[in-house]
Amino acid sequence: MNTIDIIYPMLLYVGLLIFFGLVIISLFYNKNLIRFLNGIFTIAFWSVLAFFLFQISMELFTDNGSFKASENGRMHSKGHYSKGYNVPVKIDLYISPPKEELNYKKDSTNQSTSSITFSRFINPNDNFFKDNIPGNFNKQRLEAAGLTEKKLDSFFKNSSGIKITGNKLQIGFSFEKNQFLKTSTSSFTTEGYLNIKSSNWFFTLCQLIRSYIPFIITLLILYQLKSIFKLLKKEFNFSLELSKKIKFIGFLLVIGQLLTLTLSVIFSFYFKYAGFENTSQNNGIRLNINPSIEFDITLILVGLSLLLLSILLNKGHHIQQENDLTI
Amino acid sequence: MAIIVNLDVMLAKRKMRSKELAEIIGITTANLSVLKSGKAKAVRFSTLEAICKALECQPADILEYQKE
Repeated sequence: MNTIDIIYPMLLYVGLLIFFGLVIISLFYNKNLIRFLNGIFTIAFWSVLAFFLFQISMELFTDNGSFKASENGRMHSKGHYSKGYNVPVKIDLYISPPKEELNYKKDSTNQSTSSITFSRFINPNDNFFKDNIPGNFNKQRLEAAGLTEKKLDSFFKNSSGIKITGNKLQIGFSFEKNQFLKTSTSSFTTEGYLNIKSSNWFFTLCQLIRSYIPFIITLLILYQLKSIFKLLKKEFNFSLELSKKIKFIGFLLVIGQLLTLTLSVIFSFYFKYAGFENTSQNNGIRLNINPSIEFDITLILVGLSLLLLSILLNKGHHIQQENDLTI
Repeated sequence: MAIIVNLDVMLAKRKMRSKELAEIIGITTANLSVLKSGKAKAVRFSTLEAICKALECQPADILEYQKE
């Protein structure tokens, strides 16, 4: 490796470290913090606005939410009326170990694979090994699967789990059972979105509101934050305007969450036509997709706290005024 | 307000300018004009003391109560 290849990334890393260090240190000064936040929110506001306008114009002026941007590329928008809109869902994925599976440790005499565990089926006809003894191969089975002993051995050397499903040899994805570990059913739950296009005007209207309201609320909040920090940059003081702006942000947060909650409840009424439950891919995997109630209690609490803060700021403004007029 | 500030009268009697007084008592002219115009909500005892000292008068010479 060339020395320059090491030095340049190192220099870059050290430079970045110093830069961010200075930024963080400088933020401890009130004035700098306000300037920094003002910059951040200004940039955020304009970028969200640009994205919003892009989205709206794609919706209005294109047929399918994409246009030819260059010779060999198309630009796509996030959602379009022709494709339908996202509806919030909860996805549950259950994975359970196949029941027929048994695990055997390979012979310890074979040094290179002594620590490897591999899986096989109880049914002797499905096994590559006769009488459950590793190394004692079932020739018929091997030939049927188009394998040789050597090839099979190499599989075992390189993979921790091997299973036979029908005629196929499946490598990987195994639940290992030994005296230390026992894997039972595992489940993964995640929040996601299902793209749904509906011919029902009410449902589509709800979807439209659902996909554009967060945008508008974010824009309004960013605008307010931008102007709050501009105000504070000008004069670091209590003011009626500050209190009003904070109150507005609080209301927006609460109303936005309540609206999202209402919409997700409406979606869940319609959901029996769109979702699915208990879809089995094979014995081991089960997939559920259900409507999820979108509701962030944290944001509501933050919104309510902001409302309280605005009342406090209002009081602060009065006290400030009184203090200013005391000579 | 029912309390009237007669600072102008006292300043005229002592033939002193507002700016001079402001400098002596150590407040800004803007604040002094707030006090003179009657917009002030309160007067600190320290300010009152300084004014009385500078103009050689009593608080009653500066402040007056009138029924609204």
